[in-house]
Amino acid sequence: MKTEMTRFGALLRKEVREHRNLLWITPTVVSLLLLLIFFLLVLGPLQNLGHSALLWAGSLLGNPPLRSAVAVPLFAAMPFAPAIFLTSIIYLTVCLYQDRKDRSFLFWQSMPVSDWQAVMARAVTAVFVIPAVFAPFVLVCLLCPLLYLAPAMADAGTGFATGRALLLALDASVLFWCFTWLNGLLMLPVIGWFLLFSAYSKRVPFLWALGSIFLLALLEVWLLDSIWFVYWMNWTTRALVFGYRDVPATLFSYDMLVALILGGVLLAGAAFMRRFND
Amino acid sequence: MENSLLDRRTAPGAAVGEGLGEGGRESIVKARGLRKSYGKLRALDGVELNIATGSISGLIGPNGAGKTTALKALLGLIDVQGDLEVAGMDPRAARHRLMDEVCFIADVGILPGWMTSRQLLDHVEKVHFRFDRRRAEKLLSTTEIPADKRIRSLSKGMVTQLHLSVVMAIDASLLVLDEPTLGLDIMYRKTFYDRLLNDYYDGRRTIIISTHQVEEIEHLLTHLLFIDKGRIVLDQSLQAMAEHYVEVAVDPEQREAARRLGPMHSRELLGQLVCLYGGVARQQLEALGEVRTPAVADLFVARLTGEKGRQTEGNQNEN
Repeated sequence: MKTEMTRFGALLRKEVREHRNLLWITPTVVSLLLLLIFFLLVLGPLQNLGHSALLWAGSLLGNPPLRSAVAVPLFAAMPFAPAIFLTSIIYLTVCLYQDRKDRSFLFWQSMPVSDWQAVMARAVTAVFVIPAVFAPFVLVCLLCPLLYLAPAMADAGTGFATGRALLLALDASVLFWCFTWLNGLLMLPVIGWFLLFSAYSKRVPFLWALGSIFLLALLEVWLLDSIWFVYWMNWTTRALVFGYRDVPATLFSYDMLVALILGGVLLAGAAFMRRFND
Repeated sequence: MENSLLDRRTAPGAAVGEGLGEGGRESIVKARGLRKSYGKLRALDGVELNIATGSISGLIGPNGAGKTTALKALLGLIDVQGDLEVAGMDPRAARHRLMDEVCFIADVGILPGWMTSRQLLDHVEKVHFRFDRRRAEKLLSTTEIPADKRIRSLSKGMVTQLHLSVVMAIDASLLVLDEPTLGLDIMYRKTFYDRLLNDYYDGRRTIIISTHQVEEIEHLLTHLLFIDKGRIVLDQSLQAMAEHYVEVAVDPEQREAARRLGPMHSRELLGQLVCLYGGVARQQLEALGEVRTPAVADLFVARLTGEKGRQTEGNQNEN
């Protein structure tokens, strides 16, 4: 039985298929770089640090409770956060613009899908799907070093076991994914802003989106002699600073409410632009 | 085959009434005073339309006449002023719901080039609840379109065939075609319209075709709509057109008599005068030479040059 959920699922699948190069190549490159750095270090300078380094690593990972120890692999996964942000921004800039550029926009408009559904599918892709695509890469990048080090740390008498390595990597990956989509929700105004320009711009949507931010900030300083807009941008993008978050508290915070309202308004603007901007 | 196809088409000829199309049938498209401007340019200038369910209407006009704008308005792709109802809905308020009932093929390849035809079917199957995948696959099996090749690598003819197969597998009540065979070679063009009539049209569905290649579609049409400068200048069934307009290949000795009857349009063809009349009794014209029903293209030229001629005369009189 076909439902609206089937339809929305198909829209998400279409986004992943259409932007497969961007969505797969970026995490692959980041993962390969991270693993390369790790093994260069381990096989190079770290190798000489010897027993004391392993004891130190083991003390961080092996003895404390899992929830405290997970901070270490979570920190190691941090390079993925800007990669996800960059991937999302590139995706958001091109997703609606590309449809109009290659004229497939008319085909998508011939389907019984509302402009709101089409825009929401893009927003959901940026907030949830892109981090989900990155999640297995994060897991592999955490698992490989931990499994590599586990036997040596166990031999060093730290009590660190392979099973714990698995648990740590898995726990860190899940937490990383949760924090990323939480950041995505907090940055919904940014997502809406880029979708708005993707739906509106006749060309170079990225420059339009970025340029208009600078222009608005300059206009405010020049005309009103205030920097409210700069504060707002700072407030919105501070979610970029990746760190440990209390998931339920963040979900039900005023910050989240404001982000959802502002983001909703901008997404509605993007849906309106998409409808009447052929 | 031709006869049975003709039987399936709407019986034309009746007057168009409020809310009713030709033959007294319900109208699937009702438009009153549609207006749309792009800056100073009036793309639609008070368009009135009543298209009957089950008809095949040709929307014909020169470049820039407002054909595509009118079709986009019917599909809810642009905002227009005026009253508009398509399949019982206002396209401006419910475009996505309307697309359950309406399909369209545009003048250029609009299928996403990054998809394969299999992925396209997968997507449409999940998104369009009135899409019959088995029917689409059956239709595609009669073509040479590979299932796993990206659409961007197919020829334009193949892309059009693919789009037509997808559209034909959707149980819609209105199909809108905007220059669907533009840029296709003659084989593909013929196949396109043959498939449309043989495998899709069932007398229940309505088709609106906009094209420059009038000769190719005039045998399909039940209704004619001429558009010029954003206005509908002719709205008539094919049968009414055949009764109202007559073309005469005038005998050399009847040239003066033919001119006195005030033809809408006249031209010299291989040294013979050919006149087109509107609303003159056929019996009266038979005395002038060989009488025949005009081709749609000739009527189109006659109506438009006649309009321009009258406008020029009017301007000169005003001056």
